[in-house]
Amino acid sequence: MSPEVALHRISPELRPLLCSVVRNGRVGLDSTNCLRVTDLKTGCTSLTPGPCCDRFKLHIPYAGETLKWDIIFNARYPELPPDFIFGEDAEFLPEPSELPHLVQWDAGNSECLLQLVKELIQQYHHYQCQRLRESSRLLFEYDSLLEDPNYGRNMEIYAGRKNSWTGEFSARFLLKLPVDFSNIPIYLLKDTTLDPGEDVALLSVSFEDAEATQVFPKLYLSPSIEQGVVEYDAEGFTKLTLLLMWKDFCFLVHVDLPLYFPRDQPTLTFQSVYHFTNSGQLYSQVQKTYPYSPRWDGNEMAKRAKAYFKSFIPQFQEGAFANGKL
Amino acid sequence: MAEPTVRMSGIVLSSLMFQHLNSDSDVEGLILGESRFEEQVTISDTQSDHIHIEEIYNIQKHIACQKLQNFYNSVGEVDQDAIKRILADNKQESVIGWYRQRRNTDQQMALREKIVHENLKSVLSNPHMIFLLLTPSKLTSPGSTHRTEYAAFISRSRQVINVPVLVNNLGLLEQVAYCKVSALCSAVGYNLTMKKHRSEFFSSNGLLRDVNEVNKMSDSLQSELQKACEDVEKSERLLEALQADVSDLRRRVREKSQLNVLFLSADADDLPVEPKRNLLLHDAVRALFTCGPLFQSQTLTLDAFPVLDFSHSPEHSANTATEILNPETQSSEQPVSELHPGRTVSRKRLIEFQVGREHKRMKT
Repeated sequence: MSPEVALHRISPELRPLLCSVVRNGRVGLDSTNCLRVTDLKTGCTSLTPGPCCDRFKLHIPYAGETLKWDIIFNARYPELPPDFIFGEDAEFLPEPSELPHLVQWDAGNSECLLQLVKELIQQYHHYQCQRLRESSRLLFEYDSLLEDPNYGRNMEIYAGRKNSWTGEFSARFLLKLPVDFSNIPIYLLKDTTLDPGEDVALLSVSFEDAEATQVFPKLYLSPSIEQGVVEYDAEGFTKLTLLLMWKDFCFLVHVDLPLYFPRDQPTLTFQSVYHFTNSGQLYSQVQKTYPYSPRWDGNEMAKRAKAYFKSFIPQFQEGAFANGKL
Repeated sequence: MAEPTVRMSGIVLSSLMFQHLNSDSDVEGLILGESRFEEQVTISDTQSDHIHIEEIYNIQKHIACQKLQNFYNSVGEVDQDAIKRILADNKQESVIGWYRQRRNTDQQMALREKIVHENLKSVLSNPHMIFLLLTPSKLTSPGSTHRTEYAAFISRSRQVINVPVLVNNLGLLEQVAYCKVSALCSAVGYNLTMKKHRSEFFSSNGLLRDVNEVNKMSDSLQSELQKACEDVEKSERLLEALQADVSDLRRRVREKSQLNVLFLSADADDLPVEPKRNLLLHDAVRALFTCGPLFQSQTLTLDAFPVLDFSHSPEHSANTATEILNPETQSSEQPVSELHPGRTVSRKRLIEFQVGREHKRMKT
């Protein structure tokens, strides 16, 4: 259901509340996915002329899942706050005092519903973290990430239900990676009306069992980042190709992680997008001996690599112009 | 462990539905009735005593709220004064729960409903309260058929348990339901009438006065029935004996008649075991052939034909001799067969044969 259709069918008194949800409803880490509204229904009799819908299902992206919550208003009492049914999470019972926008519900404030939903999601996050206590191993993983200031406040946890066959407990962590995207070059959008949203890189880690013996990572990049990344190995994450620009000079950087990374240093291959060699290949230079230490963490490695790019690019550009053909 | 049961009369259910039907929004209110706990002990030979606790909620009445969120606020805090105003003259002790009716929603308790329910329990100091939820919805897209689902919920240790609602006299009729559910009536006039006339029907110990008389009459009827059964049994046995006698007599008569037939047939022939004879044929053959020369003959020709022997039949001998000597005299008086008077014996051929034979003899 498109936002326009939903807004058309909703009761006029409730329209402002819903409008901010469907238009500005980006919640959680995955800001690329908006809140969606479906199953618009009414609490009035079938003889009541429309539009009079006052209850609907809200789809909320969370930790790689989609929560489906029922939100129930009353068209004849638009001033009253809504009630919620949390789908399969029937045991989720947030503390009302932790929901300020419910305590001080203001039907005249069009942002009230959206803010209330955000507060509920926050409570839902706490509820899921509590459920991690069923697995000491997963709780340990969570606590470790919590202590890291890069991830502590940028995590969404979903503790799945136990598998009815095996009795296993599973969980998913969605982490927002602390990446600096300021040097991503400007790119053209295919659809100029579509807001690409914030640049974000999310890592989803699925634990298929309580002992974390089966772990499946997955990387999500926001559209703008995907534009900057030409390609990458989505399974093993051992290769990455970036399109970068330095002083109007565009070039490709291929990063290859060796088998024994981080012990062994990644290979950087710089490639010009303008110049060719005599054999018809793009002019490129391979670098294997740049400043590197296996003791650095991922962010430090990226930072040092970025610094190296800045120092090496002028030299590479000269070589491309000197030895390559346009 | 207690198993809850919620019972409601059809009148109350239809009244609830009627209220919602005439409202253009969700409706809610309080439920009055009684709740009781019964302990049932099951004794069997195979297992030790089994104690079963049954928790019964009997919904007798509902009081609708004039508007939504009448006795609680946005976070579910219950206002006891508002409850009292809603109850009016009804006793607070008779409140066993509350209800809500909301169209086109799931049969699940919502967030605020759970909070209100918990707060209502503490405000009314009743840990055993029910929440009745009715959710009408359109079953067909044109709206020709609507469906109302209803269920009750109770909360235990912050867990919500769905309890099915049994409507009295609707669906499977349970004898137990009839006996156990006592429809208490709170009408003042009814109670006054009962008090006034009670002594005419009930004795001081609370039993009906005529119960003993009825029991005695029942015993008398039982004994009369017993007697009738005994009489029937006797007559049946007599009948059985008579039937056996009749069968026996019939059998004897049958045997006797068979014997008579056999005896009769044995006197006539004097050969009771010999097969039947054709007496007429026997007489005829004897008459024709007993003294006949053909049968008396002991001589055969070369062609294996017997030679007539006339020595045993003088009458025949004379006639035959005449015929042999005078074959011309045979023509008009043909001997008639005794067997077939219409036939004549073809002696002519025999005579010619005899002459021929004689002739042959003479030659040889």
